[in-house]
Amino acid sequence: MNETGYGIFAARMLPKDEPFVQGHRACQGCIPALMLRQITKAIGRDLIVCSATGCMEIISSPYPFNAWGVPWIHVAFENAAAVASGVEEGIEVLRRKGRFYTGRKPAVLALGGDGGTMDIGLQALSGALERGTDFVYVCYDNEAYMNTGIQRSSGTPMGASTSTSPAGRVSTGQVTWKKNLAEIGVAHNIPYVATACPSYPFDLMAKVKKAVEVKGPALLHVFAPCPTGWRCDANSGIKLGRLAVESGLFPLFEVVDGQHKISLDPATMRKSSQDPIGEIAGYLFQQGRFRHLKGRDELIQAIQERVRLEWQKLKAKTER
Amino acid sequence: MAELIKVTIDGKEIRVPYDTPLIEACRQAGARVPTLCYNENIRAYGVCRICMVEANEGRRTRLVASCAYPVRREITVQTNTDRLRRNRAMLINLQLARCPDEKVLHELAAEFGVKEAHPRLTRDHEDCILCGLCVRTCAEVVGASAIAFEGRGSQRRVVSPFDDENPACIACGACAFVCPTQCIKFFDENGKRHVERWHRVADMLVCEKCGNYWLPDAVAQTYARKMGLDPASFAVCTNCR
Repeated sequence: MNETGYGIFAARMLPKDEPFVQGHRACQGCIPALMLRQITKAIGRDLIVCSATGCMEIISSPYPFNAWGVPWIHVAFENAAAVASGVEEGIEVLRRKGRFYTGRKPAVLALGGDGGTMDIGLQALSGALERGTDFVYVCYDNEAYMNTGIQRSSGTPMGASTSTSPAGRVSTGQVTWKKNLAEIGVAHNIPYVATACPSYPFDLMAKVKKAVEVKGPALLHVFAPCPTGWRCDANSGIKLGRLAVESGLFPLFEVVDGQHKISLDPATMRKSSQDPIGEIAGYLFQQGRFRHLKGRDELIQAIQERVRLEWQKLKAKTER
Repeated sequence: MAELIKVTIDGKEIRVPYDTPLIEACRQAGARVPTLCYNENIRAYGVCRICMVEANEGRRTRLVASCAYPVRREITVQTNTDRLRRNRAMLINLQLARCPDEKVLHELAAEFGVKEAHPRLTRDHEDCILCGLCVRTCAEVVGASAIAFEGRGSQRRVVSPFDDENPACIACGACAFVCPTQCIKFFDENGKRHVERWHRVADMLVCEKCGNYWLPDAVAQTYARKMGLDPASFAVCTNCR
C-alpha cells in the first residue's frame, strides 16, 4: 500500500475542521506550518500539544493571540518531551481517580524543531522514549535554528551555508553530516519511528495516525523545507521536499517494532533503469544556501556518496 | 444563514446553523459519536446506524441516525445512554458476524462491551462492511461512478461492472482512502497502477523531463476536463515545471 499515491480527490475527503487555524505569523511558503495543519487534521481535536521553543511556537502564539484550537502549552527549548511525559502522566492519574472529563484519552503530541530535538532537547527526548511514555514526538526538521536567524544545528546538512557556518573563500558552509534522528529513535527500541515529509501529505497523515494509535512512544522525523532559511522561492518548498525524497537525500520509511519498511522507493518511479539515488544537483541548486557548491565537484560527489551509502544501509535494514 | 438553533447535547447547550447534521452538532459539543459510514464531505447515507443518538424535539424521545438528521428545531440529545449502548452493541455484533477480522469493528466492540459475534450467528470472513463510502465518493466527488452495489441481503457487495475492469475508473485511489477497513488497496508497479479489488490496471504518465511516473493517465485526463486545462500540460511533472 502506498499512501504517496493519493491525489486531489482523496484530499477532498479530509475533515474540514482546522484545529490549527489560519492567521498565524509564519513566513510565506512555510512548510512546518503546513505540516502542523496536516498533523492536526489527521489527529482531530482530541489532542494536547506541548511545543518546545522554536519557529512553530513563535509564529503560532504572538501575545495575545494563539493559532491553536486545541490545548497547547509552550515550554522551554529543552524539555518538550519531558513536559509531554508529565501531561500524559497527569491524564493517567486523573483518569484513575475518575476526574478526567471524558473516558477517552487524548493524544499527547510533543513538538520540536531540529535544534530543539537533535541538539537541546535530545536528553529529554531520550528520557521520555526510555520511560515508555505514551506520546508522539514530532521533530520538524528545517535544518537550522530558523527563528533566531538561521544558525547551524546538528540537523544542518553538509555544505549548507548558515549564519554560523557561512560559506566564503575559506569555508564551504557546514562541515559535519546531518544527525540521523530516526535511527536514534530506533536505538531506543520504541514501537514506532517514521520519517515523513509534508510534500507527501497522505503518507504523513497515515504515519501520524499510526503513531497516535501505537501504545507507547512514537517518534516522527518530518522533513520540512524553510524557504526563508534555505534561501529559495516561497513557492518551492513542496517541490524541494519531493526532490529530497526522490533523490534519496531524505528517505521516507517507518520502523514498526524494529522492522524497517521503506514508504517510497524512488527507483520504482523511474521508467529507465538509471538509479535516481544521489541525483541531488536539482535539489541543491534551487537553494541559495548551497549556491557556493557550484564548481566544487569534490564536495558534491562526497555528498552523493554519502546519500548512496545511507540508502544502501537503509535498504539492508529492510531486507533483514 | 443567520438563524442559529439551540441544541442541548448531554446537557450542554450550543447553537448551530439551520440544517446542520446532528452528528456535527454533537461533535462540536465535544461528544463522541462513533460512525462507520459518515464523511462530512459527501451526502449522509445513514446505513451503519452506529451514530444513532436519543433525540427529543418536545414530545417523545426517539433513536435517530445523527448523520442523516438535520437540525431544524430546538432539540435535546443524549449521546451515551444505556439504551444507545445496547443498540450499538447489537449492531456491532451483527457487523462482527460478517467481518470478524476487521480492526475498526474490534475497536468499537471493545468500546461497547461486545466480546465477539453472537455464537448463533454464522461467521463470514468478509473484509467489506458495506458502508458505501467508496461508492458514494466515486459518484459524488470523483464523478466517475465506476463501482456500485450488487445483490441484496447477505449477497450484497461492492463491485465494478460485471466484476471486471472498468475504464471509467480513473485509478485515483479516493475509494481506498475513505475505506474504513482499508480493504481496497492499490499499488504502482512498472508504470501501471493496480487497483486489485476493481481489477483495474491503469497506465501512469511519464514526465517528459525527468522520466518519472508521476500520475495515472486517466486522472490527468479528468483534471484537464474538469478544470478546462490542456491535457498536454500534464506532460511534465510538478517537480520539473
